[in-house]
Amino acid sequence: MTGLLVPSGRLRWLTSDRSARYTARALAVIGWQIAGLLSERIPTPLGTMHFLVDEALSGELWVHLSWTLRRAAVALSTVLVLGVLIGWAMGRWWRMGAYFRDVVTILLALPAFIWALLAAMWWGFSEVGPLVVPVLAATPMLIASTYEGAKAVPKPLLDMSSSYQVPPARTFRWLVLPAMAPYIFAGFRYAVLAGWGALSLVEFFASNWGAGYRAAFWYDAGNFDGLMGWGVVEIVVILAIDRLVLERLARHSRRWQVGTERW
Amino acid sequence: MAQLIADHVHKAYPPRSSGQTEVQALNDFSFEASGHTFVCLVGPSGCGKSTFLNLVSGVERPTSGSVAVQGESGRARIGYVFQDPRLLPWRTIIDNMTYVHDDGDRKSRRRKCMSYLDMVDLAHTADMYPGQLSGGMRQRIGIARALSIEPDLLLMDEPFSHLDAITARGLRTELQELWQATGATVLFVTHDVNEAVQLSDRILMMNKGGTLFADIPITLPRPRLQTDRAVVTQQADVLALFEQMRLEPVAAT
Repeated sequence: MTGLLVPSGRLRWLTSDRSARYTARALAVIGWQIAGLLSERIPTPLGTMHFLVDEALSGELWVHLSWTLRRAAVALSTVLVLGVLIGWAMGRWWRMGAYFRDVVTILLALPAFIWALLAAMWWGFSEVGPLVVPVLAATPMLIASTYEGAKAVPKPLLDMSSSYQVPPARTFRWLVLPAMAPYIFAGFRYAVLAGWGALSLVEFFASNWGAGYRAAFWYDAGNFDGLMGWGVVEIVVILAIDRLVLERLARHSRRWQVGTERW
Repeated sequence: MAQLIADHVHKAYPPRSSGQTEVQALNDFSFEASGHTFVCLVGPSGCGKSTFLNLVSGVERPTSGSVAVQGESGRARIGYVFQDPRLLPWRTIIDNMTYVHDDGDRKSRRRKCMSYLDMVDLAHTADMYPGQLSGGMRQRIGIARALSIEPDLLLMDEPFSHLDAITARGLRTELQELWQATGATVLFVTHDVNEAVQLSDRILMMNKGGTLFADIPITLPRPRLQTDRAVVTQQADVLALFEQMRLEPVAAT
């Protein structure tokens, strides 16, 4: 028996992994376009693209997207600081761990839309909700992950630092943070997704600016391409942040592991 | 050069679960060492040798009694070479060296560390990561790091036990030369009697109960080799004492 026919030369790309991925994407878009033709209530890729071009040309895309990005930057920076500090403290001092463990579990279980609705009731359409809700929704995720990282900081290295009387601030920067880094990056990537989703919700319910607000605007107007268009914008932005920033940072933090043992 | 005084030191670890009793690691352990002396702590596993080094370095505290270390100019500088070299795997070798330094600016710290790396013939590894080096090279980095702080007291906890015999033999010879170039007091833990006789001026023999069984002076001329007739003869004497210790009941505490 001979094996399967394998294309050679120029045709080899047809069976490559990249070709499979692009084919899957193209088929998804074609399937989506066909589904859109079945009902007026289903947005189509062409309609969505058309809408986004119009939104960009009118300037609304950049104004609202910049509002969302600004809020996300402030909220996610706060998440990073709070999540790392609380998670580390929980792993470092068992009393802190005992105190926060249940609180974190409860916060993790609370859906983001509850926070979004509460924010609407508490702070109305002010700037407080879009800054606080992503922090409340995303921080527990980073805390839980950093907590595991803090428990995994190698004690022999801590003892070595202590025997050489290395100042605590340097021990934290040179030893504790890098040891926790894989846990922090893993947790932060999920926290960014959770925070981004929570920000969209709070903008949808309780804001006059931002991508979420714009999606709500077109939802109220019954424009399905508009609603889908802003959904696509949110996805593209978060994918870009994840692939271009977070994934590269995570890889950079693991560069010492390439071809080496851990410790 | 340091002065080390251990005065009636007790160290016990609390039980880990309700069914267990506390673990007695050291019991009424006293001794003094000072000057340019090489002291080896020898004894069976679990006799408290490593615990004692941790007490001296300040990583742990005694349950009772005291351990005092005095340097030439007040507080003693203590270098510590561990069983495994305990290097930060995500930092380069030169960063691992400067990590434990607190004096001078960044440039002078780096220069000083480079000179000690050069002393152990590993200057070319400065920008490499620990995972890229062999076990023997990492251990030499550990020794260079400890020496680079110019310690009054150098603690060494079975530093060659994880290495193959040939590498360990080379490092023992190298260590003798390095130590003779410094003025440090060395406290070296091992359970290899031959290694203890080759390296030390004094052997402190500890028994299972964490007490001092014998304090044996070694006055052989240096440099010594593992295979020197005098080293082998003295080793036989120390081993005989070991056997005597093994047969004697450990005092109840």
